[in-house]
Amino acid sequence: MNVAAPLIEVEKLEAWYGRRRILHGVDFSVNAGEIRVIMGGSGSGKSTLLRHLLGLHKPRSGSVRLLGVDIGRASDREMLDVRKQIGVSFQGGALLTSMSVGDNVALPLREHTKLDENTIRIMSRLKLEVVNLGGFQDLMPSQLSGGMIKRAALARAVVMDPKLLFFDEPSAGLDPVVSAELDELILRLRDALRMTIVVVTHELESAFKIADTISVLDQGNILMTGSVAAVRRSDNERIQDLLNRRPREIQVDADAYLKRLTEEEAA
Amino acid sequence: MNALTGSLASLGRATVESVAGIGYAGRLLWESLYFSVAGWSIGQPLRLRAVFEQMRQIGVDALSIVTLLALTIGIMLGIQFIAALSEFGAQSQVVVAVAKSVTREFGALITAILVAGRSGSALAARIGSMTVSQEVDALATMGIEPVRYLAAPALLAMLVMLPALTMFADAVAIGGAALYSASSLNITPTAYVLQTLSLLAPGDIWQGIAKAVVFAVLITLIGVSTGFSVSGGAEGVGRATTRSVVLSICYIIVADMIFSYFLNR
Repeated sequence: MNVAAPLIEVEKLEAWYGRRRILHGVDFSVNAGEIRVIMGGSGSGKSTLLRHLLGLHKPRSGSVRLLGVDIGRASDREMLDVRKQIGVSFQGGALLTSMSVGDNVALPLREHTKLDENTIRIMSRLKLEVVNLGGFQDLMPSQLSGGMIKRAALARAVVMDPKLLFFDEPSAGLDPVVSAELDELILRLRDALRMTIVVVTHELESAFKIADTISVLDQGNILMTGSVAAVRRSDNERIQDLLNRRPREIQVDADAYLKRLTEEEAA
Repeated sequence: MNALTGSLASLGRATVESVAGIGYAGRLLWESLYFSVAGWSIGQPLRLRAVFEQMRQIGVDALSIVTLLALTIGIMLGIQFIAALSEFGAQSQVVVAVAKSVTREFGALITAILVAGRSGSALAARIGSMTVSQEVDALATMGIEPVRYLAAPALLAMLVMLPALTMFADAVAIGGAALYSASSLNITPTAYVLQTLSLLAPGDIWQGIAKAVVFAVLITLIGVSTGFSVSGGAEGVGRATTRSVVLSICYIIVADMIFSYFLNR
């Protein structure tokens, strides 16, 4: 594989919900081996961007290329090949509640490989060990704590040894200690499994700790992409607001305001 | 004027929504059948284990309640037909009346309504809560098509089990009718059953089974499509479950009427 080719390339991506534009022509690329944090406040469009990166939404305009495949135009076969090479850890874990932790982690192997049951069991337990959940394979997801669920979801995400790992809000809903442990785990995983990792978060501390590069997203635009130091130094007002937890000043557009109040069909 | 345009607009929106709903259900049907037949060739094989698991939940687990209801319906039909036909002195026609109404109508209808309440709602609730907790998204990103994993096994299981349950219900209902009406007709229950068998044509039974196949498709598609389109958390799941049962039963009864009309012309 060409080392220089980025694993993720997003060009002029636009997204709409009804009449509201969520992403305004986002350009974006992630190189192999880096940990990229997509940072932004609530409503910045980072969840929408992530759903496009995962191929859960087809882009209305612009393109998303994962591992060199344009996922807006890929066939089912190509899409499946891409999906076998990416892992996703969702915000709430999204473990299948009807299966034990071990079966959850083994699911991708059972579905996509022809390995025998013994090998699958060993491989999934190995991944559970990596996330410090050794011995928990027989518990049901409902019996796990929030931090354990995230780690189990991480084990499931990496069980196929993906090239690319997505992580949605790793520290949401966790106490500071557990979330710091999770950050350590992400760093260790990158070193051990040589993955490219994209983390979506609004948590500054965790972002600065794990990121190689940060893309700051605000109101559907990428404000900047750069190293941690560059983001800290940035003189962009919105970025500094985000870093210093300053409430943003909301500018009222008088015409739009009146229109929203009086219009009958407010979409 | 405003009220008129408002109601016109909501009528239009409801029409668009229901056409979209039918289109979505049609796509689910097509995809489920496609994955069942050709899934293995595109890396999305249908798991027989999942189908058998669904068959157990939909069919085997429902046996006791189907028995109870079918028996009751059989006895009820016996009571009603004896009462109604004795007015004309035509008690001996009870056997044929029960046999035809059970096999053509009640066996399929009662079983379908029961399965819609038990399994259609369970499908909607299961898939709905999986949608809400991002489990469906997780399946998709793992390269496991949610339709293949969740909908196709349910559809196949329903297509096998609903006709099977219907035939079972036919037999039990006729048995119930035999138990009640044999004494009024001065024959043994065995003689009643034998008489039923000689009176029934294969077409009568096929009519019930054909209906059961259509009902199976309706129940699954409504359950699955309401499940996949859940939004709004736990409350949304509850609403979807109720909606799937009400919709299924409505569609079953309407489809039954249309079927009966065309098959008995």
